[in-house]
Amino acid sequence: MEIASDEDLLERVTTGDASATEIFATRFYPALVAYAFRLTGGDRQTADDIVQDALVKIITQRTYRPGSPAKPWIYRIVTNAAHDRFRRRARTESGDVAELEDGNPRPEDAAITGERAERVRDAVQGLGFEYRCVLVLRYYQDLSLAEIAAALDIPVGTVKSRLHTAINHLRDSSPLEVTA
Amino acid sequence: MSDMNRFDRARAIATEAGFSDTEAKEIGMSLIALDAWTAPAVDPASMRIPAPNAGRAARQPFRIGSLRLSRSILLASLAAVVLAASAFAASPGLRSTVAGWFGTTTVRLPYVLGAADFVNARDGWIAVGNVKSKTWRLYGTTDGGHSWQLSLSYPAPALSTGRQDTLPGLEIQFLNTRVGVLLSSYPLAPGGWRYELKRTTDGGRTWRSIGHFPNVPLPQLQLQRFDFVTARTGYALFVNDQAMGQGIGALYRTRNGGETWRRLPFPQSAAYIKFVSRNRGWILTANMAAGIAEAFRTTDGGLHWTDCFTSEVRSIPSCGPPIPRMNVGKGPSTGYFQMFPMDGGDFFGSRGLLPMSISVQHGAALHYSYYMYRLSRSGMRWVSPTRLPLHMPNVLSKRLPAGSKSYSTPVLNIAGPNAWYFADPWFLSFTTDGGRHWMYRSSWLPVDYAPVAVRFFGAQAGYVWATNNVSKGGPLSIMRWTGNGGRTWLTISLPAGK
Repeated sequence: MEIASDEDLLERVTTGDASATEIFATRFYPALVAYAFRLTGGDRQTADDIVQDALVKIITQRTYRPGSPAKPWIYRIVTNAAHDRFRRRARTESGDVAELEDGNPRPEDAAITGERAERVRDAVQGLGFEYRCVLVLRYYQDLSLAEIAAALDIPVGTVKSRLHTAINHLRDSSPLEVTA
Repeated sequence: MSDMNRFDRARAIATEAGFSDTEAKEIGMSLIALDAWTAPAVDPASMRIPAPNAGRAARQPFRIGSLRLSRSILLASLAAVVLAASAFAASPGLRSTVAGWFGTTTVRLPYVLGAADFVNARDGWIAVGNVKSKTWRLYGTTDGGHSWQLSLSYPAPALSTGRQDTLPGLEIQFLNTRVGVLLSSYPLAPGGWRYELKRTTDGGRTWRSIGHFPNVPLPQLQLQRFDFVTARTGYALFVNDQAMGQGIGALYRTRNGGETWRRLPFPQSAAYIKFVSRNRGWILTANMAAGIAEAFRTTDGGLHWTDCFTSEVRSIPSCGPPIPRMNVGKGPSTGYFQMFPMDGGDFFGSRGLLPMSISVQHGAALHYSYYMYRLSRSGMRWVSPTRLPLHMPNVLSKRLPAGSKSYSTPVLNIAGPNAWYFADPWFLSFTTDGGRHWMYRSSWLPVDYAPVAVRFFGAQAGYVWATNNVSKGGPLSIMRWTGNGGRTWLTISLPAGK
């Protein structure tokens, strides 16, 4: 099936087109998992869970408005899914719910390839959620400022300032120190 | 991307963020350090991040016993949710080979798809009921569902509830292309059911009524499991659905094709049986008072039972002590906690595999974990639990998706020692190497359809029976075939309605 744009694809997905859904998942899944992976600080199990939660919403919630940009809408769903997950986990850890998710972070799952990567991960993880989202969306996912603004439902100016703050935070941490 | 390009990009990002040109240049040099943290590769085909330690032993699970909802009870549940009859509209342009009957890709009221059983990729049987005329019709196919032949038609009594839009359930079970049994249920006025057995030895061309079974009516008891393991030897477990886990029930065995039945002793709290040969089988118990689920085995056709598997039953904080429920159709919103999987097919697989499930309710979220145990050579131990995929299928199943009106648990088909198929409304996942690697097929069912049963014959051919219980016009049923390992599915034409 030839589908010209992400928007066409998403529109078909939200109308229950099975083949479009498969193409959609193939096209977006790796990028979305990478996004969630970094939001979670390298917890691949939780990243997978988040994206799958998001995919369910994308497929079953037919709230996408045809013609509107697809990518920001998709990332918004994933971001919200991650946010929900973190809130649930926070509640769990505070004792409101006794059982944790199965996907507890495991160091060996974090795909850390070296000490430097580990420092980068820790630095990014040290950012607040709203700053982390902006940084990851811009740097790793390569979304434009306008797309990030649409995804997070905030003004472009706020995106800029959060990005500025995030980079400053990283500058103060070791991973961004230039090594000779 | 070259280092220069990476640097230019990083500098541009810094500039966008409001840093001065000088700062951006400096930041760009260091910002690319972020590239050191790479995300793991994801295989788009399987939509799964490869496990870094693939093949390592799964963590010890929290284990509870498992139980299966029998097809007859499932059908009764299905019938119970029928709200209103709607006019039948046959799909245009589709005709079956059954004279006077049209084919339809979707069985809808007043017709219901009540049972299905295939013995290989070509030969199978289905039962289609008409809730208006109160009839069941059995059809057979020898070409994988391309054409259907009427095998049997018989009247089904109205339910004692007086509902005009339901039918009592039935089961069909074929051992091979010739020998099969048909079990019809009839409601008893004071409550409970009686069952009538019919038998064919010529592939459904003729049927002979064996009579009611067991010989003594069992008020308040429902058939939980009905299992013919040879043409002559069969087992049937009856339980009190309202008192599951309290040791109330009856286990029967026949050695003469259902002509006579003998009541057997069985461990208290029996909840499920599975026989894989004439004399060898297991029974699962769930003793809530003692807080354990146990499996017992027999090697003498159920005369003696030996404890071979014990599992702790743990209370769930938000739910209280777990109560084994047969009715899993309530969904998470009612607060029911499902302890056992409704697998619609195998429980103890004939290959010596035992799937166990955990279900934990967190508010509106259900968290399922399934583990597969292998039977040790001695037959006394279930060992080496392998976690069934907690990726697409389970994760998607553990929460009722927004907008969904129904909930369904995954169904399982053990097609071979290492070939397991695990299906939910959104994904079919399967392994051919005993759970080391999983593959996924997405979008395999229409929206709002949930699998009732899935079965594969070899790596390529298989079928799924799926229903939509949230349709306004009443339940809808379809059957789909695949000949390429689930990559594509063909909704086959079924006989129904004039």
